[in-house]
Amino acid sequence: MILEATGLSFVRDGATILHDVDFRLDPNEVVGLIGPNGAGKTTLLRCLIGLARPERGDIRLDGRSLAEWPSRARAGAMAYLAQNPDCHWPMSVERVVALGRLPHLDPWQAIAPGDIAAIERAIQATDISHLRDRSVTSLSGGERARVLLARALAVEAPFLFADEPVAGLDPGHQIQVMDLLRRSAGRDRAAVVVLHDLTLAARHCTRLVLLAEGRVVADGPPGEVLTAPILARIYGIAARIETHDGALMVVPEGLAQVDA
Amino acid sequence: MRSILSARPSGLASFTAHDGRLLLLLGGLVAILAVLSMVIGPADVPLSALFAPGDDPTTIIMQELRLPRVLLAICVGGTLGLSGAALQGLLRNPLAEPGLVGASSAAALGAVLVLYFGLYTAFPLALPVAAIVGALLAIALVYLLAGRDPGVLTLILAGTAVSSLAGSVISLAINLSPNPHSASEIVFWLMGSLKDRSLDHFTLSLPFMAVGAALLLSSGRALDALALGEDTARTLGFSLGRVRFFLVAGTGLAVGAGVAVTGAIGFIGLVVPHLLRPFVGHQPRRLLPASLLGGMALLLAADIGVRLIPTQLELKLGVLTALVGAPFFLALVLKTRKVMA
Repeated sequence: MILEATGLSFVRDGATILHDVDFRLDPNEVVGLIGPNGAGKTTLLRCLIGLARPERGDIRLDGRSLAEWPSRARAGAMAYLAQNPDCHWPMSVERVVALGRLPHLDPWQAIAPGDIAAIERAIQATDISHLRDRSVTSLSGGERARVLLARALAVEAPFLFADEPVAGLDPGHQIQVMDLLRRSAGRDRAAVVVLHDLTLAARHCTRLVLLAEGRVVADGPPGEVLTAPILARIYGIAARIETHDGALMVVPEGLAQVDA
Repeated sequence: MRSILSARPSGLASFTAHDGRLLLLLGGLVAILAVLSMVIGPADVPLSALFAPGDDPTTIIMQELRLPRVLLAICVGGTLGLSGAALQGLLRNPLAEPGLVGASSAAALGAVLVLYFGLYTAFPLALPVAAIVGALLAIALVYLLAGRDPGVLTLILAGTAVSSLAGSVISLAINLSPNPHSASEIVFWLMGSLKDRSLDHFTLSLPFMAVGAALLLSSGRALDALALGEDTARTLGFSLGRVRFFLVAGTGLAVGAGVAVTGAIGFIGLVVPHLLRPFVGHQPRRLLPASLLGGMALLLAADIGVRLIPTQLELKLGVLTALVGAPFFLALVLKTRKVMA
């Protein structure tokens, strides 16, 4: 399955948030959406998943216009992990993860063995089986993030969209979540992740899309997108780009000198 | 250790084991209370009189006085409990209740206007229809006022605003009523009671309540999805507009038809879901059928209560539920105060 967006423009309150953005997602990719605050990362993500309707442009999922997809079939093809996700009721972890199967159930259809297997896979992948009977509201921030990621993984959708899934997590949990997202891609699945941490993005994504002021300014492998001149121009920072054991590291050293 | 682990239903069993035992228990409670409600009263009438043919006074008491009362308690209590659970799920807020969001008083306003203008005698259906329209308008208005992701305070303020608006027009109707008799008729009707209702009242309101209950019960999965927030619910394949319409229309139909026949009976929709939530794992979908049965049981019990409490005049049912429900609500506010801050 392929997701392809062309010429997306999005306007909110008279301000153009996205200008003519093209975006393509192929299987087995982990795409990092990066860019300064207000670049339009979240808006692009919301357009791609159908939560926001672009003013102009065309989004095709598997060759078919996104708007033509029945909502439940679309929900089964694209899973979403919201920014700061939460569950409003103190339900058990297992039941929260099970909500990921809702797109696959007809209105009065009972949960089937196939669904249970998917729930189990998500619980195992996120290593939360020891928490399964706990109430989700009693968990720590890191545990809760894993549970709600498991909820998104339980959809077993070809595409997973995560909006800043590591915001507010300590470095250990950040790496854990990114590892999970990376492992969940593959076997013909792909993920799109909005990220602020450039080193994390470089390490865990197969491709980076850099947005600035609603435009795609760079799109390619991390090594091509994260270069000192691009970072200086887009983020206004002077950064050292290092390669350590084949992994890219971005070390911001200060604000970029403005050339006369 | 091993035995503790295996005692827990695992895999499919833990998800398909629905709340059969709880629902059976509640259903049994409803049956027992219904029978009790049939046999408790000023006249000592055996249950068998219900099925006796002929015009025996005991049969008339059973068939024309007590049977409608029990049937109405079951329907009105059930729909009140169910609407409370559904509204709490929609607003993701344990303090939501058909009465608190203004639906009950707006429904009462609709009914009072019909009583005031005497439309009831010419066109009996006007009473439930006006009450239903009032309830629908109230819920839609509160939803508009409270906005996309209503906080507790906004919700209660919006509900209070709608309630006080309806209340002021009801007061106006009482104020301008042509004679003291019709004023006291409205006042007594407003207090809420199941006394002296006929089977016609029941058959008149049943279709509205049944359709309303069906709309609410069919929204269970959407309410589960809404536990994760509106955006996530949409990405799980649910249309928010449709869900809101189902819940607003369902609550309006159910509560409106109930209020049209019994007057305002408050707090059932607040108390029942709150008491039952821990027994269904706090899951909104599973709370719906449990609250339906729980509401039936609670209103039957309250209606038995007003007959057993020895007062000179029989207590009005709505007065009793408010006397018990309001302190309960206060306690609930205290409990959730941290969340509200």
